[in-house]
Amino acid sequence: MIQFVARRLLATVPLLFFVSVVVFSFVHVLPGDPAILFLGEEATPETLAQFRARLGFDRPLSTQYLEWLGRAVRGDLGRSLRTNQPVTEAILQRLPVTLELLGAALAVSLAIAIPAGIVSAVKRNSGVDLASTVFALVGFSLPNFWLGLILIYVFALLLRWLPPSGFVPLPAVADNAKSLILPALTLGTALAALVTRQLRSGMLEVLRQDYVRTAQAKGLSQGVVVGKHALKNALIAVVTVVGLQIGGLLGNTIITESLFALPGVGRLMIDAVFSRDFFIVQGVVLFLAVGYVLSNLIVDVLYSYLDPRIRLG
Amino acid sequence: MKGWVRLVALAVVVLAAVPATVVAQTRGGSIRIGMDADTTTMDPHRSTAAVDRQVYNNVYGKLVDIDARFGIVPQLAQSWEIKGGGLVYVFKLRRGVKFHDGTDFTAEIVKWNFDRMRDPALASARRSEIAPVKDVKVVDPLTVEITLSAPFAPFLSVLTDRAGMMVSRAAVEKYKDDFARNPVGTGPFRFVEWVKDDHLTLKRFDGYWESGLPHLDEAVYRPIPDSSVRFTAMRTGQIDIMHQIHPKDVGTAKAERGVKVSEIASLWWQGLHLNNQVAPFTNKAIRQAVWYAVDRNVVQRVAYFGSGAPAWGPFPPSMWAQDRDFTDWKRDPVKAKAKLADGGMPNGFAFTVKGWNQPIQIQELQIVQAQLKELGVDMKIELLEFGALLADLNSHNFVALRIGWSGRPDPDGNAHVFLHSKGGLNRVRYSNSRMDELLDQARSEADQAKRKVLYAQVTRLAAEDAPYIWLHHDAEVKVWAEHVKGFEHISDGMMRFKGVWLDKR
Amino acid sequence: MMDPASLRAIALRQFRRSWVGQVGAILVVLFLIVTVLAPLLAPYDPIATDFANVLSPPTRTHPLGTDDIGRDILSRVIHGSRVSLQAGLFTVAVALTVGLPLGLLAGFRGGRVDDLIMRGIEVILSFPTLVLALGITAVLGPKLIHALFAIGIVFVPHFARLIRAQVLTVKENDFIAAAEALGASDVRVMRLHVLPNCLAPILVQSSFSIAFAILTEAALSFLGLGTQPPTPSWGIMLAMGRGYLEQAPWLGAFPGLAIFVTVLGFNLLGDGIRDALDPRLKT
Repeated sequence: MIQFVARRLLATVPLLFFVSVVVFSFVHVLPGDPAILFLGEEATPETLAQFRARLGFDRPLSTQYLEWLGRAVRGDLGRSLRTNQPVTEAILQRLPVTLELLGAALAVSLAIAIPAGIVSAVKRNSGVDLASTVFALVGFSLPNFWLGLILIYVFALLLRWLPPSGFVPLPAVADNAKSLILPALTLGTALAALVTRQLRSGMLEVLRQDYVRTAQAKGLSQGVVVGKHALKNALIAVVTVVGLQIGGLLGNTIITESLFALPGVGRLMIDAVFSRDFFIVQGVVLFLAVGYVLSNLIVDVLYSYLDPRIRLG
Repeated sequence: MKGWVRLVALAVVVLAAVPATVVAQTRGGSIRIGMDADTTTMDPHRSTAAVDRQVYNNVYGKLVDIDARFGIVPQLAQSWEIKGGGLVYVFKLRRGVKFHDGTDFTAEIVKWNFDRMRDPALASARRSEIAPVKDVKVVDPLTVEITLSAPFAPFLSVLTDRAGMMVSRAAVEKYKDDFARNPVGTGPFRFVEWVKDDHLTLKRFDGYWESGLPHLDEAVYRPIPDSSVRFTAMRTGQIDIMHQIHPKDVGTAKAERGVKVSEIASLWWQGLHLNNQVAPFTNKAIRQAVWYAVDRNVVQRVAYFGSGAPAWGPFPPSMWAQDRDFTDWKRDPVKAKAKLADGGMPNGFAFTVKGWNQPIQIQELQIVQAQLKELGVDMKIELLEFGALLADLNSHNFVALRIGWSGRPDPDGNAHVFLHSKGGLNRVRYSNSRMDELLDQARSEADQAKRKVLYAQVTRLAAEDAPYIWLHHDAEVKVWAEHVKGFEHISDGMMRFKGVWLDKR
Repeated sequence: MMDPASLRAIALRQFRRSWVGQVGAILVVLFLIVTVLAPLLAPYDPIATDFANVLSPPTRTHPLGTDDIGRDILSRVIHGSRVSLQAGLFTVAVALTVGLPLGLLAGFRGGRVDDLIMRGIEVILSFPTLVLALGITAVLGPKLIHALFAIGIVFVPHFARLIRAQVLTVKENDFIAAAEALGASDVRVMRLHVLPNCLAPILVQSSFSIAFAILTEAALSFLGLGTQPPTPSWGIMLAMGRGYLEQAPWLGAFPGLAIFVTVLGFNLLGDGIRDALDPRLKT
């Protein structure tokens, strides 16, 4: 186990290195010239040169990269071109909101998917099965920004049960929860659909296997069978799906935060894109990519814990 | 017996009436303000965004203020005297005024503030507003004498805005550039924190010079750029007062229980800036073509749901300077086509307009886009976040740019900065010596009737040269929850919270 | 070795039996008909404004109502399908153009070339899709083509991996080894044995990718970073409708429904083909 984790960690280091190269090249190598985008095509050559010099864009790329990497490793991602706020500070300020949203979305989707998946596998071809199968097929194709609008329309505008947008930070627990219900549903539905589907087919497969049939033949009640054998194996399927979907979840956070005006990392990025605040964009992309790589690592470790066969591979 | 009944009835009536009439102004509470955009900087001498002034009006004291009738009233200056044919202003300052950092507000500080605004190194947006100021002299610790180089009728009016806002010298010297995020003024509220794009919090300043004020403990500004979302936040009680409601929602707001709506004429104009130094708008005929091609009445009816007024110049209907004979223009596609031919582009041309990524602005631009399309003019729309749009405006980085002007109580503030060749906000780099003459004359003239004639000429010349395509004069609408008491709605649209209290029972 | 013809027959039979695939196929065909016939089907010019008739609810003259500057929503939804199809096809084209040679190269050459390509792919996979697409559009400027290109690049790994896996499977076959021993070139092996086998998985992947591309184009346009007005894109229409959720819910309802149905169609089609190809997966 430890050996596996160590090997996985070691493989992550070069990956992160290449990720940093890609993120760096965003601002520096891609055809768009940040100086022109920022100052405009009418800017005089002098002001452009000044801008480049101020940001150190006039030096060799390799020097710039190494310096940038050196600072990035120490947590310094530069400063916002608009507000002069350190990028890291801006990200950390908004991180709790994003993490809370992600956690809430995960919780909501599992709360929907686990019962739906289990019941539909155990009670095959029942009404519940049909409903959750349709949900599993359809939920994944729902554009989350449209779903979000529908939820706002129904629950905030028509029924007025929940706020249409905005974020109430902790420690106001009740208001905080209220402000996150709709965003969490918006973000979590697609995942819920996928997990339901995977859980259902995973459980069916297990239920068909010989040892389960034997257990049933030996007279163990269905509840015990499902609980003891099927569920553990099916959970592996859940971890797989969730692991595969972290990237999609992170991306959709941006849309959800923008739709519900949540002051998270995603909205920071959108605002920065519209402000052409490249260092914020660069910082957020790097931050999210690193976060993604690390969460994949965690999923892998979790996975190997649940299913020891993986470790051999 | 009958009399007794009447007495009881009277008593009941009186008792019932008591809460409505004699409610004490309760101390405490926090007011949540829904804003259309985030503050861009907290340094009033560097600010170029209307939204900033909202917060400033509660953080910074000004030498003078305006009231609901556009009258100039004392604030940090207790009284003033105008001498020397309008060239010398002597201000008597209020005694015992303190900044939030504990330093004293004195004549010395006033002088230092003016020096700061006039310092070319600071590149203050205030510099051109107070360009006529020649000299600031400290007469005694509480008396300042300001000498102008020429009579300047709008001077006091200018001081009701950011140019009159006094910042703490100690704080500027301590924080330097970071003063923009650590503001210190003399206003009723002091700055606490600012989480960009989320909230900006002010707390009651206990050392405020007006005794017993403010009533509120706290004011929290929340930028909610989406107007529908902001309005829903208002209706669901997440905010107590909202700035800038979308005109489509005004009807709904008026019908809403527990919500108060106030609609008055504003000082705003909305319009397109055409960069006079960049092709094709270097060509006057091409600018005129756009002028004739756009139907302001459609803009008003469709994008603004009939509220406010179509704009044919810089002066809104609320201003005495507006030339009423000049407000019933119509779109003229034939003339527009002819102007295109005059300008050597009979089949149209293409250009990009930059705008704010907000629904009403997008809608307005799409209307203009459709109307120009009929003439073969292909207008592309590039949307930006407000701060970036402003930065592009200030650095002349646009061919055309759509933005609004919140307006000033004196007509000079709606025209001079934009139309004078040396105007501080003349980002389109328009220059016409006749226009300069008219504007200079109008600002040095004290007689309003004479000024009105001059401004009528300004309006006509601006229509002829078409450096801007004015589109709309907004209505100034504020919406607040019923429990917000004591709010005075003033045409400049600034929300002053020192006299506001919450009646939450 | 099974005869490909009979394999195809089994697959087709399976596909016909799966209602999922059929529903998907019907939706996709409908979508394609709409895109092809858009100018004939749309009752109005999708960018023509009627300022006297804004925010009209659905009526007989405007079956889906009009938008905030008086454009016919039905016509815009119909024409919007073209933007979506464009998005889908363009991104899959980008992904295939880059992914196919990469996958083949990695599979055939193996060794260091394979390592390098797989490492590169892993790097692309280290970015959440939308984040990468947003980052690229941020630097290149908000234009549809940039967004589509970005999405296409993000899809490259999926295609490259799929093709590489197929190459490896084929290479393990004895008869290929025999053919190579007999002097058949890589190109010949590729043309005769690898590509035909790749077709079905590529089809499945393309169907999912088109669905995802349509969704992503709509998302970027919704955020204001994809298609620019006045071009009718479902994402833009939805963004506009967002402001009139209360006064005119039809503004956002129909384009949203269009995105949903189209994406659903391509996803179900992909599911259907996959199930048909690999009956074991079907439960």
